[in-house]
Amino acid sequence: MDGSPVRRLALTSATEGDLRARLCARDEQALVELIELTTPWLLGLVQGMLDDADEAEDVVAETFRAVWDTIDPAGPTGLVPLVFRIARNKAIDRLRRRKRQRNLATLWRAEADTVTAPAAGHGGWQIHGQVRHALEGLPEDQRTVIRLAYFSGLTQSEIAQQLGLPLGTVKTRLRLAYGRLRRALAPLRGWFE
Amino acid sequence: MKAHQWFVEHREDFVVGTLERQELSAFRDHLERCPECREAIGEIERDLRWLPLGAAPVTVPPGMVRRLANGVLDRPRRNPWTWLVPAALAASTVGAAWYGLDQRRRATVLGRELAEVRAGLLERDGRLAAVLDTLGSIRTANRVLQAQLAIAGRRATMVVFETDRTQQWTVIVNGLPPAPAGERYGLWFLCEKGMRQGAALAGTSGTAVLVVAKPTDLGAVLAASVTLESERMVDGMPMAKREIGLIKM
Ligand SMILES: [Zn+2]
Repeated sequence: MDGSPVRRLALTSATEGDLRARLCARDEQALVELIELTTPWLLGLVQGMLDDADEAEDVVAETFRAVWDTIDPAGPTGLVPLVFRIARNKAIDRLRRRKRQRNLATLWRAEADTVTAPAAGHGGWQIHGQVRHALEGLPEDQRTVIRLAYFSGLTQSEIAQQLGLPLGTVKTRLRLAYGRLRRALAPLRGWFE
Repeated sequence: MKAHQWFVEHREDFVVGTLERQELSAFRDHLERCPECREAIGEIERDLRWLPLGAAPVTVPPGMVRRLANGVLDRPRRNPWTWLVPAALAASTVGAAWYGLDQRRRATVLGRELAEVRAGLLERDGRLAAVLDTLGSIRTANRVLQAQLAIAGRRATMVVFETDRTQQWTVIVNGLPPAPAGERYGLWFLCEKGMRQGAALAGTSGTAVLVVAKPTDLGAVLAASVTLESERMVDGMPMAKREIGLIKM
């Protein structure tokens, strides 16, 4: 059920709704499908933040346990974004605990990895293309601070330190980037409706 | 004290998680008081919910999907309530007595049928012991406190029996719905010298009971706040929480 060849599961709002309903009904096969569907993306996100494969697997495992334990038919829609949010929050908690200062070389390597094409064998999600398009539409200085803030989990002052910029400049770039991203991602708002 | 404009300007930073520890704590406090910012935060979360897909997927190592699934499913059934530990111990003692009795009868009665009967009796006795334990706490309580909880248009009732001798609260909650995904209920003691989490609560449509130790090192307990809070913890505190009921001393 894993390894290669990877089953190509497409993410559509119908798949999402179906998985969510089956998970609420404690369908164990639905859990396996959710894991197959989201793990390549979760691992990509969390490994980029933690730079540690074992720790990333721990975070992903904790995420699925939290989803299985708390999923609720009355909860908000958006199962996959919820999975991502839980994983990212858990990764940030670990980063903050570590208080680790990552060196620039590692960060730039992560940056290089994230602009390569998706790994072969994974069903590409259409949404992924739209998000990447939104990120690529940012001016380079804004894309850099977003990478460090969102995909490496650094605080504003850590970003300022890493880039050797005044804190105010980092705040301004982030604010401009958030505005652009929110506008660019707005068409995805209605995805669940 | 930060001006409101500061919170307006840092809403995205709060959602993305780039604030420093003290700023985060100020933001969490502000969110409890400011419905406008709460709503705006919800909007930002919705707008940015697909942003994680900006990271490229990686190849999942062989065996990992199976490990992850087993890690979720092969656990002892978890009951998030700190459900009456003394009662469970009492129940096991009663269970041992039943078991001994059963061993003598077993020679003459068909084992399988009796085992089923015994399981039923043990379950009944476990429940009975739990009820007796709760009743004991209630009977010896020095103080009874009550609060109405309001959550998503529903009402729940919480009654607290405080026992001086054990410095414990026996809390009975009725009608609390399950917490929304990503959130949970919390019970926080507000004391003279600070605040401490007493318990994380699960929702339940029936009646649930839990026993909580009162803090003894933070001065007098002034009140207890029941909250709906984010599961996300930062520096030992939930990322966001809002009060759904207050127990006044
Ligand atoms: Zn506000």
